[in-house]
Amino acid sequence: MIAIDALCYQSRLRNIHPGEKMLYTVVTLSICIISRSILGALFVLGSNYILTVVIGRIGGARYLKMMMAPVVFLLLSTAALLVNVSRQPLDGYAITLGSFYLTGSKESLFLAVQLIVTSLASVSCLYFLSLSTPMTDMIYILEKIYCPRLLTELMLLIYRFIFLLIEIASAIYISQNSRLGYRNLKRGISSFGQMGSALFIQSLKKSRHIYAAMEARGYHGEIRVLYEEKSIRLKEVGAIIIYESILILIAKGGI
Amino acid sequence: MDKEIVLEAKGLSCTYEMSDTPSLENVSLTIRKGQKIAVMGANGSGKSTFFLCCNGILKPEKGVLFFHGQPVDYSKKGLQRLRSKVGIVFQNPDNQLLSASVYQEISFGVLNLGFSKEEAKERVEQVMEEFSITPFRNRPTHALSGGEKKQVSIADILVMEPEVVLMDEPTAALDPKHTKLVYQVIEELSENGITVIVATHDVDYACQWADEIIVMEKGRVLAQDVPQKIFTSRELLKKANLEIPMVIRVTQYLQEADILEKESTVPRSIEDLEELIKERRR
Repeated sequence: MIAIDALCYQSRLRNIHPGEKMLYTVVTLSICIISRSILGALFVLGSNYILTVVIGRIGGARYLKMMMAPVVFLLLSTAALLVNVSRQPLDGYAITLGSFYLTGSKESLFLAVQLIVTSLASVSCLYFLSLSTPMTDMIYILEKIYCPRLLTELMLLIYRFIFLLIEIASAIYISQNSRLGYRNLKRGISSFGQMGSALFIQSLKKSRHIYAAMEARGYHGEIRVLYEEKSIRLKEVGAIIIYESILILIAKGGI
Repeated sequence: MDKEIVLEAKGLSCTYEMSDTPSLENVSLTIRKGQKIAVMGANGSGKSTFFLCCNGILKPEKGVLFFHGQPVDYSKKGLQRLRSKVGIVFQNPDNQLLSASVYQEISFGVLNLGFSKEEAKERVEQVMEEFSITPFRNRPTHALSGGEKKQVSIADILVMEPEVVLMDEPTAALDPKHTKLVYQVIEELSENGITVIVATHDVDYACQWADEIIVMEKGRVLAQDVPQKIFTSRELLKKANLEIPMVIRVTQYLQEADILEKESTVPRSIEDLEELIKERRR
């Protein structure tokens, strides 16, 4: 999560209007999920690779590594579809195991491939968005589409303070570790618990400080901030529409 | 010297919840327009509490705070007015910055003042340019260095264009480069007629910079006077656990060694001392 956050600030696509990026992501994702087309999914995987790695300049090796995380998960969860143990061989493949067969049907093989490819394509859409759009930009769009203010204000604060929490937690962990707080399991469990309670108290204190600081700057019940306006480029919106039309055509054309 | 009084405290007392001893006890002092004030004293002597009082965050149990001669009105409107004129830069930027975006962060205060988006935008851009924040404006606040966070937290306040700026140990944990930058900002504020009150432990800086020094101890004001008086009163310094500034120590040594006259003026900086020695040579 932290790696993704750090990377998205470096993306070349960062300064494109977040609305365009969100539009692209949501529409592409929907088409992928609804059509379940393998060809369409491969097309999306390819175009997201180009967008994120070639144009956005996120390292290719890193991107592939990030894509591997869902791959492992998907292979494990489709194993049930792929492998059956049965007395009768099915039409896909069959491996003899004494009087039993390790076997699978053509249909389930197709289903598994379809599931893996479309899921990966969907994940790549989300990666595209999170690797090109900082959280603050997304909050801005949520506000534009009339997401309740309470939620967007909370998101703004949570996003900021997650990092503070991690920072303080890691500082505590290092100082505990340097005093042999994790020398064995028993000490480790006790140290971890102490860290939890320290973090809780620190959070309470911090929230008071922050509240005082907000009041000092004239806070009166509503967090209002300025967003850096980025312009919507018609050319890009046009490109998105053309892209989605092509995608729909591919997805409709069979498999 | 007789400029208009901006802030005046009369017998302020303040106790935190769950604490027996008061954080401020009978604090009375006056601060005039455009003055450079250093507040000195040990940790826990009440400097930060006093700052919070000046901005209306804490309401004193006893005593009255006057702003431009008017007692502070603790209604919502009154506080709004006070807070738009008196700004606090907190010691730890992580206790102040609330947004992950530098731009949003700085805009928070201006929008609270009720400016339109266009005006706010203009001000934010201007302040970012002035305080050399532009080079890192696109980085999230959690990826900034301590010094950069400090720059942002100062800009946070200055964008609101307050009359009085309170800074709580502004150079704590800063590297020399950023310390210098902060001191420069403070200098510019004074040049623009803004009243600056700085809590600091740096006696050398306080001695040469401040018009007046307020010495606090255990929630009380021990003294408010010009640096020459404060830093030559051994008894006071001992009581408040303050060091003697280097330049005054050297002067005292030179006086004892008969290199300087016993009754010479007290220098506040190395430059002053050089001047004195040159004069003596002539």
